[in-house]
Amino acid sequence: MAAEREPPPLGDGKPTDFEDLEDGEDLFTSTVSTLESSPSSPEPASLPAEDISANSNGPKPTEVVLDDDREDLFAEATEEVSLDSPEREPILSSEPSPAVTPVTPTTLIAPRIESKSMSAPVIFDRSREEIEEEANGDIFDIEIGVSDPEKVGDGMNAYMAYRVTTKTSLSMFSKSEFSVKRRFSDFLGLHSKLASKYLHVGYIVPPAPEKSIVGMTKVKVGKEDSSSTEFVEKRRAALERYLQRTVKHPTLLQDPDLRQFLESSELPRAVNTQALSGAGILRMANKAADAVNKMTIKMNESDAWFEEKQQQFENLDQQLRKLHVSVEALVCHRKELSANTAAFAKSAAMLGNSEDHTALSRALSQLAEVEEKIDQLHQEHAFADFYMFSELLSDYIRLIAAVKGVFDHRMKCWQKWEDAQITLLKKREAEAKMMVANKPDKIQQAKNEIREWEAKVQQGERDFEQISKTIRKEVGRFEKERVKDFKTVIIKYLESLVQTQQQLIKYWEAFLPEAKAIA
Amino acid sequence: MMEGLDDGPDFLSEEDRGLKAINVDLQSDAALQVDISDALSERDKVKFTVHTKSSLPNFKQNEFSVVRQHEEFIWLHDSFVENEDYAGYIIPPAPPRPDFDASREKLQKLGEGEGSMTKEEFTKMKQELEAEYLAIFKKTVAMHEVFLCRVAAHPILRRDLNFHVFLEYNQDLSVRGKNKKEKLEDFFKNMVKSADGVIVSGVKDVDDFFEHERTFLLEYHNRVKDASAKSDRMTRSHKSAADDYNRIGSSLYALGTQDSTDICKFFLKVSELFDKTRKIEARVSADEDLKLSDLLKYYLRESQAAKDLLYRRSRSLVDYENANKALDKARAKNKDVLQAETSQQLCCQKFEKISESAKQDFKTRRVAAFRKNLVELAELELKHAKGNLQLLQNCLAVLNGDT
Repeated sequence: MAAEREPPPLGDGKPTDFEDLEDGEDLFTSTVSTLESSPSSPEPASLPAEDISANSNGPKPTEVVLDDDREDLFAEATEEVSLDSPEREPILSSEPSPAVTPVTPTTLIAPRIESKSMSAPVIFDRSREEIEEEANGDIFDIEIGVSDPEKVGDGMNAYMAYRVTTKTSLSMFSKSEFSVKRRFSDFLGLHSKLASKYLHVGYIVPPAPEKSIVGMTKVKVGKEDSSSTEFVEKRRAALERYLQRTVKHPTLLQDPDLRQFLESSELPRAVNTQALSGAGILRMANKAADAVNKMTIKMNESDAWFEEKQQQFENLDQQLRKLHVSVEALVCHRKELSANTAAFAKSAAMLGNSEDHTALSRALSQLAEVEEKIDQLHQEHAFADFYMFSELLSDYIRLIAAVKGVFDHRMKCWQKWEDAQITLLKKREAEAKMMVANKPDKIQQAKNEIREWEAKVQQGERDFEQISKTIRKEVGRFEKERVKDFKTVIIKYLESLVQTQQQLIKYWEAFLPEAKAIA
Repeated sequence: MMEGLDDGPDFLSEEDRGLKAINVDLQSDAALQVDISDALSERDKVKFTVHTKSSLPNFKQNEFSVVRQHEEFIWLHDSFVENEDYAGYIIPPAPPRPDFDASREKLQKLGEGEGSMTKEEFTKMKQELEAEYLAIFKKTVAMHEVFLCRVAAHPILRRDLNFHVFLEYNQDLSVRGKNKKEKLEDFFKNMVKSADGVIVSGVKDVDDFFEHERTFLLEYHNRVKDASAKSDRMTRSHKSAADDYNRIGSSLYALGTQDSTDICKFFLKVSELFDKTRKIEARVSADEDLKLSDLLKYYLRESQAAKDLLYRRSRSLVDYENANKALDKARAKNKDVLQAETSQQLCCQKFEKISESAKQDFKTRRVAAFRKNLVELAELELKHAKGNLQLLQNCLAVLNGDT
């Protein structure tokens, strides 16, 4: 405990000190040896229950081998994690050093890397930029594809299995190309694991595609019609986009859960994702509690940036929703247009048949054919509208909900800090009272409690600053991604429109001489 | 309501070329040329200015104009139908009543909802509705004109006295719309006619040509009806899709103006693109409506008129046969033979007259009309698709250059 009071000599985790990072390399190398030994011990000790699975992958000796620049970070990973508070924020298991070191003073000074502090990600973030600048290709050189939906099993226990193919040149994966079979609940399980680890710290975790009971039931029952194939296709595309977004996030990419998801051939079944399971009900209860809390937390926003950003995201959310509604209407109408064009084509063909003037009859049949082809075009156009435009919008609407969630977590963090401060005050008052009443044993206890709460206050403050920092970073990244995403998708969409128009031109140009040939 | 279309002639001239196409044989006739040079929309009445140029001696002047309303057109049409002399001809179908109800409703709803939308949205929708109103207006003018031109081109009908009165008499014709009693009478007449039609159609025709024509017409009429309905639905979906572009454009615009990153320029450009594309799509839908749907609808009415002709002919045939039977009976009873004879003679004449004139070709006009319209449809679709393509390519060039 004493260790927590004294910030280790080399910096105290404030970002400004990280300027010295470059020289920290030596520091790290000296501690590597101690690092390798320590992982095994703290392991079972005080891992919060939820993270056991995460950390089990953590301390692999191989993972110590990081990219050069990242190694610097851990030199300064000096912040101590307060290990006793059960509601500790989940640790970032991506860092190879185990988050939890039960506090033995010796381990403190030496392998500072072990302290899985909240500041770690910040260092990480900073050097991420360096990494980006230097090895630009490396970090984002990973391609994910979701394909081949296959129905497995029968009846109500049936499910769709998707093949997840990864192509990468990243060193952290054992192979450069591999694929596994996953089902929808596996994806949901991955998301819930990532969310529980990272959302609280301020990372914007991409949301998974939504469950759809109706759609899946149809598929399970075995209805082989176009709506169920459409549903499967829609889901496949959504899963692909979800994975692609997740791996684009540098921090999430490091997560062992994600790696396990992509690599291992057998994955423990994520039962917690079922809506009616115990975990599901717990989730719903939590959501309700959160909603109530949000209303009651009154935060003193010292940083105008956050307020501004929150407002911005509100506006963006509204606008996107409106746009989404219009685009969905467009998709609907275009599908209608396609159906009507098909009906007209048939009708025109019949008219052509009953027409006894041969040239006119032929022209009418040609018209019918043209209209049929145009009907196909319209259908494709509708698909483009949908898959590119409309799904992009709904993805972003969900992402913004995640962003708002992150802001909410920050508020909760602040709340905790506030609460700790209040409690500290109360403890101090209690101590003062004890002093007056002169009860030595109670005084000692009070002093202990004060020390405890002072630490909590400090931790709370640090947590809050950390989460604020992370959010800033994340929002910046999110905005960049958003801009890129929208631009690429819209350009792709417009290009598909160009295709459609060119086809239209071809068809009508073919028809024109036929019409002129009517004598 | 839109008061007075001062630019009437310019709009109409475009339509003239379009709709005159349905009657290809008109331009050649210098002796009598009729067109609608102007139209005014007042409350719920439309006043057409009918302009005639003629070298015929029947008219006092060579060129003159009168103002007519829809009811007067109907009166003219009905007078043709009721005239026994014209029983053997396909009477050009009457123009449909100008129907601005739907448009008026939408305009009203827009006015009510004015508070709930932004200024740009409101102006946009208003423009859109005005354009729609204008389109309906142009269509109804065109249809009235087509009717007059057909009559003017018909060798027999153009000489009709009522027609000349219609063209020349510059006072109000005092033709009131049918009152309730008359409408009820019409209704009964129609019912009787259709019942009769069923009976009469059972009679096999002596003449193969007419038999063939009858089966052909029946089938054709039904299919044209079907095609016309489907074409209508198609153009309407097209229009709703175009409307969606409008809303998407405004949403994108709002996104663009509110966004703080450099994507706002992007959004604004795409919003602009959608606006322009929408105009083109709306025009595509309008052109399809004009060239395809209207063509089919017109031929729906035309084939109905042809069916009516055949009906009249069959009716007269039945009358002829009845008269024959009556004559036989009279001869048998040796009573009223002369009367029966004359009536039989009349029927016979009537029947033969109709048969003669009905052999006129329903076909050539139709073929020419379809040809013209289909060609124009294809050309317009091409023009719009190319326009669309260019818009998209320009926009893409700008966007790609930006990023």
